Amino acid sequence: MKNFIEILSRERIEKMIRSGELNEDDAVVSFCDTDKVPVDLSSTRADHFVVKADDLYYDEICERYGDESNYFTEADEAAGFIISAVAAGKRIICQCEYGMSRSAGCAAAIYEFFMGAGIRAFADRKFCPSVVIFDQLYKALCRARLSITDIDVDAMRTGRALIPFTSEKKNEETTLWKIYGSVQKRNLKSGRKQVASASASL
Amino acid sequence: MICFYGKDEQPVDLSRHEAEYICAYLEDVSAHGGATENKKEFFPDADRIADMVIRAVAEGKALYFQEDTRGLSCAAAVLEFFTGGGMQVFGRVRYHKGNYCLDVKICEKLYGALCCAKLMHNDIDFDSLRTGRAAFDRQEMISKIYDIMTDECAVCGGDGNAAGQSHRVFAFAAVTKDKIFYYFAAGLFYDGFLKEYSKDDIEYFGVEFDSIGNTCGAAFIDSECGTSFTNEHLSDYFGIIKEKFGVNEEQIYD
Repeated sequence: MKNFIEILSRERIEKMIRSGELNEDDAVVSFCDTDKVPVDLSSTRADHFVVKADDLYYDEICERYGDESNYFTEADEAAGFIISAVAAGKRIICQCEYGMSRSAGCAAAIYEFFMGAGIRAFADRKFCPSVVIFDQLYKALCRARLSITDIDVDAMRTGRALIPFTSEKKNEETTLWKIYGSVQKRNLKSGRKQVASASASL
Repeated sequence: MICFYGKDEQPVDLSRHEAEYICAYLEDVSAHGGATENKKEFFPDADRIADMVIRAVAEGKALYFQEDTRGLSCAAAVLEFFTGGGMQVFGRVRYHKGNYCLDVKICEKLYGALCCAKLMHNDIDFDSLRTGRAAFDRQEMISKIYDIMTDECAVCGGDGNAAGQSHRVFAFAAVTKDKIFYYFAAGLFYDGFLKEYSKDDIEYFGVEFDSIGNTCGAAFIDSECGTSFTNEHLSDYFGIIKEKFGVNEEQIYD
């Protein structure tokens, strides 16, 4: 089974595009420098959302934009895109130039919001997550949770992200992982043993 | 009070104050800057600090960490251990302004030391000290890990094929009521263990994951310390587990 969130560099995703590895079960949040052309995902069937934001430290953001609220202004749209993608059981691919900072900050926010596990991305020495991207996206996901009415966002939250007063058994049964897992199980090649219990019903 | 000083720094003089304190020698080297010390040699005062922190928390004392990077990284570990709130430090923009820079290596080392210290303090009720996201029920955790192993076994067939397919497991560790310590690398011989032992027969259960994208969003979960963002401490930790549970036999499947 693939990871339900991937953190990729531009080089890696372009390789995946060439080899046809992206499909309709993928949703890509692609961070692009403001002076560069975004990764061309038009030849794939993956959903994608492009964020034009340079890779900057906090102090540089304040210097260029006044404060962090004027940076990554697409955060609310990105949050809506991510929630819809998660609800559809898609794999979320976070991509930036080197797959280390902006994409890792984005992945950390998704982990934190849906699983309460953002610290894993921050503690992983392979990455150096952008704390501003994390902060903006996490807040945007929280806002989206309140504004989105056609998706039961809380039902997709699991682990340490479960809100105590909604942590009923039904949440255990319909977790983010199981939604994603059911899609992946569907895609597994025949011949491999499959587990009914692991592909729990939604 | 926990203070740090480096090669060209003088430790803060707290000798005339009543506060309990440790002045630890630790160079301020970013985890991403390529520190060359090995894991054992790095931050040798972590165990001493963990011990003091645990006793201080049990006695209701306030904790102060002096110095930006090193103190902040320790504070993140302590918050994560007692409240599951390490992200309050890692993810908060104001801690990344100016010269603040979290050192993951320090945070991991102290967190691991706190986990090891927890096992050795039989006189402190940790369940009452750990709150929020750090609180968990021991029996529920054993049950959860048992279910993960059952899922994995069904996918792998117990023969090592397609290891970690469902939950991205790296290994399981268990101590059973007959005082045997088991260690199973992913996909190996779970079936025999599950046939022999029920949830009630397991005194200790832990699972290590191989990827950030696992079902629990953790590096390691177990029935003693709950959800851990790191697995760097496990070699020492399992040694203490064996001692604590009076293990008299080991079965390693690696």
